[in-house]
Amino acid sequence: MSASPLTSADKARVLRERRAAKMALGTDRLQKILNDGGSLKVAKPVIEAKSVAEAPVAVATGSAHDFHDDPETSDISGHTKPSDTELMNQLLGSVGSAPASAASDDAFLGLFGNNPEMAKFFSADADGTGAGGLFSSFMNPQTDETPIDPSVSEEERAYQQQLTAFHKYNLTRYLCVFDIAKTVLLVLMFGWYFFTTDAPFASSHRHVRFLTDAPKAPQVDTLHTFHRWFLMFELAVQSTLYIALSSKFDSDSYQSDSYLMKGLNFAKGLGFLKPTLVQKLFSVVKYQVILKSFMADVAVLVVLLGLWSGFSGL
Amino acid sequence: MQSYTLVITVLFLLLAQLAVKLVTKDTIQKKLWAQYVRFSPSSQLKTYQAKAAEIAHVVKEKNAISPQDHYARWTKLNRQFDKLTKEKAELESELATRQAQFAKYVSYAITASITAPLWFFRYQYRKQVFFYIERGVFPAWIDWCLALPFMATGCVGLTIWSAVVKAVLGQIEVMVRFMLSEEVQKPVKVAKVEEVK
Repeated sequence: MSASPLTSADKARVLRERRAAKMALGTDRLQKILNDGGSLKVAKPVIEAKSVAEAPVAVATGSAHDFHDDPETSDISGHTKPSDTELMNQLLGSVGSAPASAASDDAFLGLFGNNPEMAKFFSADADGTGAGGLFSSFMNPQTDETPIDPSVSEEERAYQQQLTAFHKYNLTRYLCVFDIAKTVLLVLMFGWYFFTTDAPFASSHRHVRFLTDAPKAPQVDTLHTFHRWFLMFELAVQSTLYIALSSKFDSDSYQSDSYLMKGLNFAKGLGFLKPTLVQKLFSVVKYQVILKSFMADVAVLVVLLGLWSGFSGL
Repeated sequence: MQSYTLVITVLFLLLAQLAVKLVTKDTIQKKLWAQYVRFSPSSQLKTYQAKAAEIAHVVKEKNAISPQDHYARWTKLNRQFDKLTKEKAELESELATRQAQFAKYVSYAITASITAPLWFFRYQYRKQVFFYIERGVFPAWIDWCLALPFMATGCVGLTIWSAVVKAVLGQIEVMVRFMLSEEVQKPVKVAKVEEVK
């Protein structure tokens, strides 16, 4: 075994050449390490073939000395930071095929591996129908309607969030102004009757219930007028509200937070109700804003009647 | 208790409940503690108050002079400020237990004066008619709904009275909160500029 002694300059040259050869392989080697060595098998290469082709490959034609210099700084101004969902999708090997929520459903499938019925109950696509499961509809209610699109940029998403907040603020402002206006009108109408009529609309005494039974009772006309005015007022107010909300705002903006909607979504997720019935109920629930507004007006009126009951003089 | 007295009492209790909710219990406890410290005969609290007043005085004096022009005086005041702050912090740590106890008593007082009477009324006057509504004011089905759960049609009891008062106060709360909230401006979409290659 005759070993020719190498000078320090030769040794340094050999090392440089070896390093240059490794660097010339570019990202292929890194790709191999990541694919084979990682415990998490990814379906798609972490580093895309396209990016490999586009990446600046270190060229070995230059002098070996060049590789000891600092590498060139790559321009990252055009790069965008991947969102959490994209990263999650990459990690779960589901890029472009399914959003993260589907992956979480797969986790449920694994959890209830021995009980496919339970898995179907909790999972979104376990039955293959694509119908939303219990957790899909509850934990991620927008999955069915608006799946997260990985192609949408962060700026666009932030803009959409700000826009939603703005619409919500606008809706609250509109409803507040509307409530104030109608309550003022209602109180004025009630005040008119309170100051102009002797007929007690409410009292602490039971006798008030039978005043209108008397023949030619003077209260009858007053009551009828009030009753008519109140119903006309409500009709006008609630119609205006419905038309205004339908024309100015998206129906989801003033219904998504309601407990009735959430309850119906829950029932839909459980699968207890027929889809046709659910659709009918959804269309009925759309009118709950009107019902709530009407109930609020009745509440205001009952409070005013309660306060009046002390001044009835009966 | 007379019906109308009950009507007014429940109304004011619910109003007080809303006020506590809006102001928050924590703020009430802090404000009352500040007043307690101010007027309490306790020597420890008086010392604490004196230190706080002295610190305020020193800070005022320190801010009135320029550190460059009156360096010696400013340094002296600064040392005094540090000393007083340290003493005040020591006193505060000693008073922390007392303050927690005070906050607990305030919380008990709020419960005893607002929540407990409502519970008592709910039990004692659950079947008492608060007032009657004349026939014809509302449609009959609304009269029936207003009499729930124990009353005859046309009567209003504690359950419905509390519910309607809460509904009205809730509306007022929403309006107040909205008026106090910050205005949300319409976001401006940043136009994407295509790079010319």
